[in-house]
Amino acid sequence: MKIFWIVFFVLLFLHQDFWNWGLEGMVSLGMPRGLLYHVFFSLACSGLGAWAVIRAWPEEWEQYAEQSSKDAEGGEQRGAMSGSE
Amino acid sequence: MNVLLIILLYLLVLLLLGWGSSRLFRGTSKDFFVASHSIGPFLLLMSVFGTTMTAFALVGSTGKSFERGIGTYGLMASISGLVHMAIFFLVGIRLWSLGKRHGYLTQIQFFRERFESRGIGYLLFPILVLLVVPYLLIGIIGAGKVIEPVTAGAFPSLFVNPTIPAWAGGVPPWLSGLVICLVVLTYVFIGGSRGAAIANAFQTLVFMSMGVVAFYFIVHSLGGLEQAGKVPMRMAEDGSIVQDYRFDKEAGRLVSQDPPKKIGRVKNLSTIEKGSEYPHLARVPVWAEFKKKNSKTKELEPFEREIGIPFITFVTYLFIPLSVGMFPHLFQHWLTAKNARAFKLTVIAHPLCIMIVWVPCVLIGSWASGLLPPGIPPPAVLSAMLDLLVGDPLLTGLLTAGVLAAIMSSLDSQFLCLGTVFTNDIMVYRAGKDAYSDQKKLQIARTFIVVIVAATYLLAMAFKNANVFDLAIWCFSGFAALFPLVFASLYWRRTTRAGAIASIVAALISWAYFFHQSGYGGEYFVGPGIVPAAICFFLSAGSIILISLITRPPSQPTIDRFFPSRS
Repeated sequence: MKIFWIVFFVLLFLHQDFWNWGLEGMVSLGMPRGLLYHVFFSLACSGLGAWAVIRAWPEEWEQYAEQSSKDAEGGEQRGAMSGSE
Repeated sequence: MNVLLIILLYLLVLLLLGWGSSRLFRGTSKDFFVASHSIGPFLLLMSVFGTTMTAFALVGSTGKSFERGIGTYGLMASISGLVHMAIFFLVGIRLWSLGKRHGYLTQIQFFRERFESRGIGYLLFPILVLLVVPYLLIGIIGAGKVIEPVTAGAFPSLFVNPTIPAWAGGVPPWLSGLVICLVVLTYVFIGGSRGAAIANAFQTLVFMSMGVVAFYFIVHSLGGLEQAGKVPMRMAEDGSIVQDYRFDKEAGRLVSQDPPKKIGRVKNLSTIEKGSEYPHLARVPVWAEFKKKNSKTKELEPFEREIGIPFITFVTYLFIPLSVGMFPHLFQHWLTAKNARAFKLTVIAHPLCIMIVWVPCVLIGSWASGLLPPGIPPPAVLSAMLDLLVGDPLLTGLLTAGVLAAIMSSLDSQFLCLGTVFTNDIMVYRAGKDAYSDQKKLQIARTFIVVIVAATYLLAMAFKNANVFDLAIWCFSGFAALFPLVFASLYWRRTTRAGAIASIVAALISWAYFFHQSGYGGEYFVGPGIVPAAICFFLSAGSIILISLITRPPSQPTIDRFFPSRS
C-alpha cells in the first residue's frame, strides 16, 4: 500500500503540469500537447489501478466480507437492519 | 420528427429493460435495495460510471472547453480518473466489505454504528437529501433543455409557447421532464437496484458510443484531425480575436476566411506571452471581450470571458471529485457488488471510460470556438456543432438519446437511493427492525420514490431556468466537503462521534456560506481562484482531527468491528 500512496502522490504532482501551461503546439493527429499529456496521465491512472488490484489487493477485507456469507448460511449473521436479513 | 422517434424508441428500450429486470426480481427488500449483492464486474463498472457521469459528460464538457479550452480535460476529467480510481479502491471496497458483513443498505446505517450515534443519522439525512435533490434537478432541467431545441418544429400547432421563438413547436420542458421522470420511475419501481444497474449499463454504453460517433462525423466534416486542429479561434498580433475558417454547409467543407473574421479582442494583451496564438489550446488565462445579440433588444452587447484556467483553480479543483466518496447513491451501487473482485474492473477501467467520453468532447469544444458565435450558450455547443457540420436528424436523435442516457443513468440511482435512505434510516429505524414486514418495507420505499419523483419534477419546473452545470459543481462541492468524514471513519480508529459531528457541521456551514456568496448557484472562486470545495474540505478535515483528539475514543468493540484486520 505504501507504493500505491507514493505513486498516487507522484501522479497528483504530475497532474499539476505547470510546465505545459503556455504550450499550445500540436503533436500528430491534431492533438494539442497539453491534452495529450493528460491523456497519458489518464492511462497512468488506469495503470496504477491495475497495479493496485494485482499487487496491493485488500485480501483481508475480501475475507472479512466473505466470512459473513458463511455465517449467514449458519444463521449467525448479525444484521444491523432487519431489511437486509 | 425523426429525432423524436429515436428518442421515443430509446425510452421504449429502457422500459423493456425495466420489465426484463423485473423478471429477475426476487421480491425481497434486500433485492430491491442492493440487488442481493449479485452484480458482477461489468455491470458494476457500467452502473458506477454511468452514475458518476451526468449530462456534464457530453454537453457540459464540450461547453466548458468552448469557453476555457483544452485545460477542461485536466481540470475535470483526468483528475477524476485518479481520484475516483483511488476512492473506489481505498474507500469503496472497505465500505462494500463492511456493508456486506454487517448488512448495511445505506451510508447512514454505517455511520450510525461506526460512531455509536443515532443522532448522526438524523443530522446527515437532511444534508444528503439537500445535496441530492439539486443533483436530481440538474437531470430533469437538463433533459428539458436538450429535447426542446432538437424537436423544434415537430408540433407547430400543439406547442405554441416555446422557451425561445426559434424552438417553436418543440416538445416543451414540462412534457419532456414528465416523460423522463415517468420512464425512470417505472423501471426503478419495478426493478429496484438491479433494474437501475441493467438500465445504467445500457445507458452508459449508449452515451459512450454516441460521443465517439459525434466525434467521428465532426472530424470527417472538418477534413480530418490535422485540419480540425487549426480551427480554434486565434489571437492576432494586434490583440484582436479572429476566426480563420467558416463551414460552408452547402459545399459541406471548411472554407478559409480571408481576411479572418474579427469576433473579439484580448483585454490583457500585455500579460500574454509573445507568439501565443490559440488560447483554447493552452491554459494561460486570457481575458477576452466579445459581443452577442440581446434576445430582447436585438442590440449587440459586449461580454467578457476568461479563456484558459488560472493555476490555483486548476490545483484546487482536485477536491471536487472527492465527492464520489460521499455520494449516497454510489454507496448503494457499491453494495450491489457480488464480491470484492467485482471492483477490480471498475478500479482499472474507470479512468479509461472517462477518457473515452471526455477527450472527443473537449476537442470538439475547442474547435467550436473557431466556428460558432462566441455568445452561444455553452450547453448548446455540441448540438450546434452537429447541426452545422453534420445536419443529419438521425445523428442528432442518436446524440440526444446519448445525452438523455447520461442524465437518466444518474437520475435512477438517486431516486432509488432516496427511497432506500428514507425507508431504512427514518421509517424502519424509528419503528424498529421488526415493525414492518419485508413487503411493507418495499411498499414504503416505492411510495417514497413516487413522492420524491413528483416533488423533484415540480421543483425542476419551478427552477427550470437555473444554470444546471454551475449547480452540479455546488452539489459536488458539498459532498466533497463531507469526504473527510468517510475517509477518517475507515482509516483512523481514533475518529470520534464528536469529531464526526464537528466535521459535518463545519462542512455544512462553510458550504452554505460560499453558496450564499455565490448568489445561490453561480460560478464562484475565493481570492485568486480557489475553489470553495477546497476550503470546505480543509475545515471539515481540521474539525474531525481536532475534535477527535480531544474527545473520548470509540469503544473497543466498535474499533474491533470496523478495523478487523488489526484487531
